[in-house]
Amino acid sequence: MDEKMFGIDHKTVFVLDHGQPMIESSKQMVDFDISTKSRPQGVVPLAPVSKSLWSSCMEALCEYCRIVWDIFPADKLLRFIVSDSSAKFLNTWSEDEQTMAHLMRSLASVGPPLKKPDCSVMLGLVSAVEALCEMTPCQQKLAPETKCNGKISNSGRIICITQLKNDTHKRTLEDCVADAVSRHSELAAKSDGMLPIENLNLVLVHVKPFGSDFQITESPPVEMKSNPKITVESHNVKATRHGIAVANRMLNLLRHHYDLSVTSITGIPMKEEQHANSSANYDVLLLHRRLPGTLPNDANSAKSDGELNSTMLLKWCTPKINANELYHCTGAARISPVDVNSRPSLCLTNFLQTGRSVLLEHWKKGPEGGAGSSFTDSATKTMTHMISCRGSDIFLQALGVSRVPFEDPPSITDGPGGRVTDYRINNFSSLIKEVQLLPLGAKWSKLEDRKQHEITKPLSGAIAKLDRHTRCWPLVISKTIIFNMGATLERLLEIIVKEKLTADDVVQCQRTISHLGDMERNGTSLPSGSPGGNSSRGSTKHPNRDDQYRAMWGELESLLQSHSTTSLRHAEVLDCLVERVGKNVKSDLRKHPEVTSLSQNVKTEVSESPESPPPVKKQKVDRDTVAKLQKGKQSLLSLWNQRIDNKNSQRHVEFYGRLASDGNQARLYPNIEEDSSREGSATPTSQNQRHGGHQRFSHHHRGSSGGREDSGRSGRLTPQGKQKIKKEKKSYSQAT
Amino acid sequence: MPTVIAIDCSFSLSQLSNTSDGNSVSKLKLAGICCLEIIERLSEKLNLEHFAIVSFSSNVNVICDFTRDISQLKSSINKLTLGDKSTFRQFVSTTNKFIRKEWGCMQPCNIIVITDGRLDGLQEASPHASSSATAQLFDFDCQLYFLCLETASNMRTSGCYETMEKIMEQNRGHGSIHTLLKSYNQLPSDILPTIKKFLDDNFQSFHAVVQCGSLKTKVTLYPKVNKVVTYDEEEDFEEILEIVGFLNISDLGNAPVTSRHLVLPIEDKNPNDSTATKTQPCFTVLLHGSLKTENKVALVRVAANSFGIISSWNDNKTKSNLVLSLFTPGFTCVPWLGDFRYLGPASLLPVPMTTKKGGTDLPTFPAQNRKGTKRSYAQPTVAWTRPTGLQTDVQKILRSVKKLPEKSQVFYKDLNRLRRAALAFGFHELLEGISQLLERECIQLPGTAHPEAALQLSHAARELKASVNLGYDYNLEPLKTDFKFHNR
Repeated sequence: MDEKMFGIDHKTVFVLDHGQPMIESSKQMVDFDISTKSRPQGVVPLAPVSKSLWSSCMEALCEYCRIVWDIFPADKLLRFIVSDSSAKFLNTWSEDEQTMAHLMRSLASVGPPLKKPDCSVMLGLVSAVEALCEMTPCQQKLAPETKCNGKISNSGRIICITQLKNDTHKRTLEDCVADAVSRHSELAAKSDGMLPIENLNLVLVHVKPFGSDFQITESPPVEMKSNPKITVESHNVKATRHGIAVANRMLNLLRHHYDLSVTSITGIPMKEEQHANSSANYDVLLLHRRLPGTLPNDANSAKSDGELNSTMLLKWCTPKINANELYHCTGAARISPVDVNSRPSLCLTNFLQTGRSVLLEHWKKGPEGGAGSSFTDSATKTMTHMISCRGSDIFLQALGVSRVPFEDPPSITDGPGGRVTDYRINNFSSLIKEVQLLPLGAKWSKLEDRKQHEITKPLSGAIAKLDRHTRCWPLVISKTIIFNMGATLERLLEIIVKEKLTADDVVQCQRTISHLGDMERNGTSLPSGSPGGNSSRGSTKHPNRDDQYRAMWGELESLLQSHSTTSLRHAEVLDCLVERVGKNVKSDLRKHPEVTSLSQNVKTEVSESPESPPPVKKQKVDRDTVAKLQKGKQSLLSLWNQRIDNKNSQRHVEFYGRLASDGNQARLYPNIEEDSSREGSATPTSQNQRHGGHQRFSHHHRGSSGGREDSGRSGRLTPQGKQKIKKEKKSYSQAT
Repeated sequence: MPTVIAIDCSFSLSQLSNTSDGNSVSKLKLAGICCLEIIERLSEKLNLEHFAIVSFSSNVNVICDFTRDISQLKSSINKLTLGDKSTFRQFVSTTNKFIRKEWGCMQPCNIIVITDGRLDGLQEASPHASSSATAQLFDFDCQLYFLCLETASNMRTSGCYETMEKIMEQNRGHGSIHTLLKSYNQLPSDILPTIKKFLDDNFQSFHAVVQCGSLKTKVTLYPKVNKVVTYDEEEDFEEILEIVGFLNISDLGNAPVTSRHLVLPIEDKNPNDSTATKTQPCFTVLLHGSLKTENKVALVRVAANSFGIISSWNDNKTKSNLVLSLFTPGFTCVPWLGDFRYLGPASLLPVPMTTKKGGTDLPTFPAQNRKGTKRSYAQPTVAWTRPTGLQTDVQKILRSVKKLPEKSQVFYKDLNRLRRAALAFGFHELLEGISQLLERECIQLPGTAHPEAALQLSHAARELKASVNLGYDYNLEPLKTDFKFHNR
């Protein structure tokens, strides 16, 4: 896949000899008319037709390609070059042209070889080297990344299907390739879109008709003396039995080239065509990528013309699988049936494509049959594999059956938090459902055209959603009131975690908040989330209703607070609550002067669980906090605090003495010395002062206008005058 | 992860080293002391660890099979007896069998070899010597540590160090070599700090944080997680296991994983009240409960492009726990889940895209491949390498011949398929043959046959021959026998 280095099997070029020798008959007749055999009366059967070497090779080639594309849908690419008096490419590295349909169509366009002189595979081999220098789409994708820091690995394989004249001819071809490699690598190093070849495997497949005895020496892969980067191997194949020998050799090569395993699924129960009520057991041979933990293939197997030998026997066990049981799968590999059109193969693949999965058991045939990954106990049945269709592909999955190193672990109930019984499991379950992931790929690409979303990838959307939903999330029922209030708060809790709120949503929330206020006034009791601390539910201590409400308001506020940064509308909801609570605090203020400390207590209570966000202190009364916030960055929070501050300033008036003083402490009777020296003029001012102060406490606006008159009259900058200037400034900023 | 402590019992270990207090102690005895120390210290650190003790010379003995029983391990050390010479190849092949039998090939293991450094038979150490490029010492992932009862300078001059480095190379550099002696007359107790340091450096428990939005819990992972290896760089496993969403177990389709690790919340070390931590709520317990009831797993991001799942796992029916399973690095490592980056909750899609007439239109697993290409087994495929392949295709055509003209659509479809395959394989002789076959069938039609059957058959036989050069995409069409339309 794109995550891997490009191995030698990333690119394979087939060079197909389209010269005169290939048109030769394989000297094997194809008996296609078998219908006559079942007919009793003497129907003269048709003469069998003879298959050319070319046809045998093309059939074998198509099987090779079919399996490669079945098992490696994206990252193993094949190209085809037909070579006669010229070299003709049948496809490119482009993914669209890596299909059976494309191959068949282009092969048909070439047709069988013609009786032309001066045909040679040399042209094809040279073109093949050129093709290997070209970048595949996968390599191109990587090209911009590696431009500065390194190079892309580029290796490949050339499989030349031809008829060699003799061993000298073979060496000529090898030298021709070696020469082309060195020339092209030189060229490629200079040019931009080309890659030099690091390693090349040249596979010469010499095909000859049945009965022919002219020999080419078979040789295992050996490095060429002139260029050690090139390994050459040759295969000598007789097209016996309808060309099956060629096909088998190609399959053995395929298995070797891509490190595939051959697995036999055995004991597949199948209804007989003739006897529908009985079933016989069949075997199906599958090819797939070697699963992790299995031994590599024997290197000599590639030279065989025989049928593929299975390295692993898996016995059909049961298609009854609980979909909600999680099996430990250690590897999955796409499969391709060796004989795709045989009845057992079709039965198996069709069955799996209906969505069923089948458990399989490792089966040992004989004493040496156990070369597979797993060891089964004869006494107990151990499922070692599973075969199932996932999407368009059938996968063979290896299941972990070995001992686990963490067997017999301490139970989660014995660990931290294991004895807690009132986790909000149901609430978390609904959160899990909320953030259930779906493959949005296809729909997302449609969306991207319309630019309907701001986040780049759905997964980041999922993460953001999780973040929003858990900002304020008490773990246990006993630590929360607002999440236990059912329908009363349900809508608000649903709305507030949304990414965007509509105006309607805000109204909804406001309604809920005022409803809560009504409930408080009416003395409706709250559910038993105990604000009394860490005692669990059903504790004997019953908190009084006022405390409960205070705790509820506090909790609700921290919730809204944590969401207030999401958008302005979220902040608006918080505003609404703060107004409400502000009123409550005020009304409480008359009754309990110690309310500030109380409400703080409640908040720490709520956020005591380690996962709650740290309490954000909403301090309308505390000037210091506000001042700090104003000095800091202009975050949404500080903006909001300013607004609240302004609103509060309308309801609350600071002791003007403090405002007038330089520090935080007001000096009482600042004019007392002046008073004693100029008694006559000072007295009315101080009287005014006292009067104005009193007035402002209840009638703010009138007070301020009165003050202006004062300052106009006295013409001196008394503390009162200073305050007025500040006031004016403030009202100015409020206006803007 | 499981740890094998291998003690070299070759004869050279009988060498006595004089300690500074006047006594002398054999190296084998020293090896036993080291082994004891390792077991004691490691079992303290990692209480779930399985240990096995193996002694090796020219033959290999398992003197204590994998166990967590410390006393059993300790007593088995007394069984150490001197052998002849140490053959490392023998050790490797026996250990391979031993581990495979116990843990399979997928379980990484630690091997601590306590030796005096004189290892023999390395040249044949690799079991797959023929394929030198892929030669790998052990069948499983293995951290190999050599603890040498020898001084560093002696190791170098004797060439032992070089041998061990070669072994290390064959183990793809996973592991390290340590010399335990500083001088020859060391007290056995002087070795212990070196061992402690070695264990502290190499056997740490792995701490991480499970995070879901702002809900967090500190956990240890057992066995510890190795580095996540991507194709061009080794990326450190991030210590935050970030939950990015949830999946149905049934949708997950038993996706293949590379390793599994127990997720254990860390207890706050609070000596004065041990029950307090158990009653303090813990997020992973909640997560476990919900995953179990919902039959779901949490998808977790463990590094920039590396993912895993956290799921509920139970050993037997009563003891349940959270387990982290890691996928191979990459966004597309599980084909049927699609690209991880494109997984998201349904709410991300605008409403019109999620509804269609009479229901919802949400995408479902398995994720389809982009081009919707079909595999050979999912579509009609021609495969004629075996004689039965071609014969089956011909039989199929003959079957529809018997039911002409009703089956003429099927008949022409199969005929066209066969024709195209023959053209692709350059098998023009076959077309001639099939043409003759159809002609014969035409003659042999029973008297009860529909008259159109004969017409279609002779038409097809003629066309098949005539169209050889008309190209791959030419389609044989049924003979028109219904002229009503044209007359109008």
